[in-house]
Amino acid sequence: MIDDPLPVRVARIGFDDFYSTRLARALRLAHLVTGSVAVGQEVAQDAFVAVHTRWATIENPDAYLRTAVVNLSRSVQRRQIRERRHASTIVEPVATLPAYDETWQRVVRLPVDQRAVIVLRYYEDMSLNEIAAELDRPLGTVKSTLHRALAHLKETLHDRP
Amino acid sequence: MTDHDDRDVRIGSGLDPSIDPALETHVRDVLHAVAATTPTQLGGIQVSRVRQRRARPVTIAAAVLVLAGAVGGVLIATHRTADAPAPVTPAAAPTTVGGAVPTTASAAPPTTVSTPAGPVTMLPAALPAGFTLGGDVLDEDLPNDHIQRRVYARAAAPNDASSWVNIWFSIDQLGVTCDGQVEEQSFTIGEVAAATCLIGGRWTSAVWKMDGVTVDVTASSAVTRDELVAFARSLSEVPVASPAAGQPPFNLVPSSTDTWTALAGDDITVGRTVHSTLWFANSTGDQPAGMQVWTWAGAPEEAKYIIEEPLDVTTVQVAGHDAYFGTDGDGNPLATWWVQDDGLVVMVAVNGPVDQPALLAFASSLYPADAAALAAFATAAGFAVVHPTP
Repeated sequence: MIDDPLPVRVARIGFDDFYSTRLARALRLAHLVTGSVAVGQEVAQDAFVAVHTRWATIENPDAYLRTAVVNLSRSVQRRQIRERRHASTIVEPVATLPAYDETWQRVVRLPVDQRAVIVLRYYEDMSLNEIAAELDRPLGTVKSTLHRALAHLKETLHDRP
Repeated sequence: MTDHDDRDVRIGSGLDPSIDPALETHVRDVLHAVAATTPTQLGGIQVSRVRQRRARPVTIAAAVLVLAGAVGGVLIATHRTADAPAPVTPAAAPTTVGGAVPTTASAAPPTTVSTPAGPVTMLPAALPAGFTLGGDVLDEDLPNDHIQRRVYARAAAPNDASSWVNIWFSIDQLGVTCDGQVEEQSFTIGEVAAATCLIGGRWTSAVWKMDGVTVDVTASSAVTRDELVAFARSLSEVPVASPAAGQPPFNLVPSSTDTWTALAGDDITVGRTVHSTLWFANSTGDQPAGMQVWTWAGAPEEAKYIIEEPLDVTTVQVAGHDAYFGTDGDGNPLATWWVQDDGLVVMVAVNGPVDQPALLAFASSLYPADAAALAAFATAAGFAVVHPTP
């Protein structure tokens, strides 16, 4: 239970303004955690629905939105894993540098909890304590998860710089 | 070592020496590069659609429930701060215990942490003053870990998230020190070395390892370091054991059957140690009212797993025992439970319309019976007693 590091808004904005200014970030985060643009869009929309549902009582909509995106992404991924237990993971192509694409392919194939930790740590620049709060995990478990994810990436990447 | 021996330790800034900084930089670059390719202006997601979906909360709630069910009860809710509550719709919100402290709903009885000394469940022997158990136990298997969490809240303000305390137990954790970016201050729990962590200018975490299990007590902003340490030191291991050989699993009978008539005797194992005991019900009235007596060797808070309903908990006296008394959100009694002198936990749960005086009167009338006395009672009550295999 760690207080969210994001600054509390000085003045409350309307939901429409919140939506328009946070949509891009929510889409990017959902894309990274789910590994899919399309699934990320659904997750982002569901997350905004959750925010809108509690808009009147949420003290920090930014933190709420991020939590919603991450947790809904994890839930969707787990459901998909169950549904296609024996199917191979299909990774949507992205157009970046080849070395980046290879790493992204590996990131997408990580278990969703490992990927969530990776994204929160290296894309959202959150501390491990903040990630523990975000994912509702003990700090030590988050450390183990991050360590395991990085070790896996290191093993599987051939041309890491 | 005592608190007087506390010392400030500035630990290294690195997360782990085995983590490759170049790899971290590379991963960071990749994520930002991929994020830059994310389409962010799509007609498919519009604020009007959000509002439309908001107007259909039942459908949304159902979807979330289905989703929660699809993942087998996996936690999708968090409750860390008031600013970052669970991203779920109200219908999927977690259950509440002891007020409105959000917790994760679970129908499964708690499993225990295995240690070299055998399975234990770790509990505060006596809660720090002013705190109360705030919720169910989260018990979750992860791919490489097994974690449990208990939530405690300040009794005077159980809904105040700034005063919540999480106690985590975990098998597979990397190290037990604080995050590399924070300050650490050591203390001891008996002979065990532990440390509190300064996070964001507040002492919010205490971690240590005990019998192979990592314990992590994490507190919100309004909890002081002294309270945090008190919580850590209050934890003790409760061995998980079965009732003594030869002891009937249902060893309590009411002193009088004038009001309550035995309907059936049963011995149901719920989880590892919990035994259902006897059903009693009055013989009059349109709505049969009943009592169910449960006994188990373990932790009293496991009562919440048996009840499986949100409940508010107060304390009462039952036959000289300090007992818990649980009611539902409308104040209707659900159960009372306490720990006997022999360590056995006893709970009496109501079934049907039973008021508080009736419940407490029945509970207070229970007395321990040896096997012979129980058999005699059962014979008189008209049901058979099945003794456990020693």
